[in-house]
Amino acid sequence: MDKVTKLVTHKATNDVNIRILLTGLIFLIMGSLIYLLDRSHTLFPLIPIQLNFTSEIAIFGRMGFYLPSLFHVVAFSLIGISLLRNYSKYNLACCLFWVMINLLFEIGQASSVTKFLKDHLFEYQHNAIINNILLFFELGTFDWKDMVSTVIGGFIAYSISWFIIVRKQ
Amino acid sequence: MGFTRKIKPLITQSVLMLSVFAAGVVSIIASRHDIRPPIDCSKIGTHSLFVATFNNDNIGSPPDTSTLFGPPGAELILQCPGNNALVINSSSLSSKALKITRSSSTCVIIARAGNGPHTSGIYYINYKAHSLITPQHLISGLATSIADVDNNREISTKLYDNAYYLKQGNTYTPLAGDYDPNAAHTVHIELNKNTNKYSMCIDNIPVANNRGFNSTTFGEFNELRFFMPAMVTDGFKTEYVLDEIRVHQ
Repeated sequence: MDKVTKLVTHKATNDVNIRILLTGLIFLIMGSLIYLLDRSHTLFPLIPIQLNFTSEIAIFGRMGFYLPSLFHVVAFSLIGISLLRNYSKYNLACCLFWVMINLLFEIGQASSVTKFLKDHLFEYQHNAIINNILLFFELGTFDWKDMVSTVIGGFIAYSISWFIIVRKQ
Repeated sequence: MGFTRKIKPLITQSVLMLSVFAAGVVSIIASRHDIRPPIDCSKIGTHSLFVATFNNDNIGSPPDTSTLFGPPGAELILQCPGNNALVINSSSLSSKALKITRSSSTCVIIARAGNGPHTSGIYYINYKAHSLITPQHLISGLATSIADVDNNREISTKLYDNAYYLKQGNTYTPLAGDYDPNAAHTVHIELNKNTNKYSMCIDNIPVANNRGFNSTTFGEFNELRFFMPAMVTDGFKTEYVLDEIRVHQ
């Protein structure tokens, strides 16, 4: 490969990385907006009181319940892909990885699974990380619609990455 | 030199990928609800920290406080001079139960949770109760509360005048619902020690949801307390019956 081809390829690679990264960040911001605009700081410790802009009307409506699962998978899949040097080879694996992570956290909220985890991790509950993971499972509610949103999110992330990569090639 | 040039981008990429992974997982965990809305009144937790059913105690005697009430640290403490706290056969509860009678001395029953320290997590506190003589006035009602290791008290309730009253600030306000105090009823409290907020059900009906404590000084959760005030000059009689006191996590 001569020097010019190398430079062009490198520039194209960086260009794709940046496009995918920016798209991922846009989805991350959209997901954060749901929490800032539609969810009260009294129920979600994630939201600082100064950044709580909730009003009587839910801006995202009922979709606001399920969009965070979708946006989370899209955002972190794309951000992950953008950091891969060989993104066109591993973009599907990256999407599947984040779909799997989100599905595991959703399944953990099912009461029988929560009980199993609590039984086996109870003696480590004074560890802050374990305690917070158990709290997430115990206070969360399993919902198959979140599972569907997660899978759709993975599909969207893969489609976006594929579109950006193919278009550049 | 060549090896370093090859390995350096790999390390950088691995660190970045791990950072993204950590951020992704932390953002999932941090997005949790702080309390399940609405409260699940039937939930009792999976790990027992204190259980007193009085089924093995002798009728007409104070309960045996030397028996096992749960994991190490679990205790039933009776600070009741005379015969102010006796085991009876309760027809309303259809089992043996503990009767507390108002007398010239105060009577305190403490259900201390074992397996401490209890500084975080969700605690499920349950008990059954009814009155035999129901007072009409706040002063003579049996007070129930949770306490920390320094005896700071929160979630204080009183049963009198045919209703449960919850202490909000410095005043007792009636809880929603109509409860016949002479009929047996169940009390369920869900305490979130991470946020110092609580929810409460009576007879499986939510009466308080995600309420904050009255003070910010409450520390490590230690016990459930039942306090019968001494009869001084008012002369109001009170008899209260307790059973199935349970603290779970």
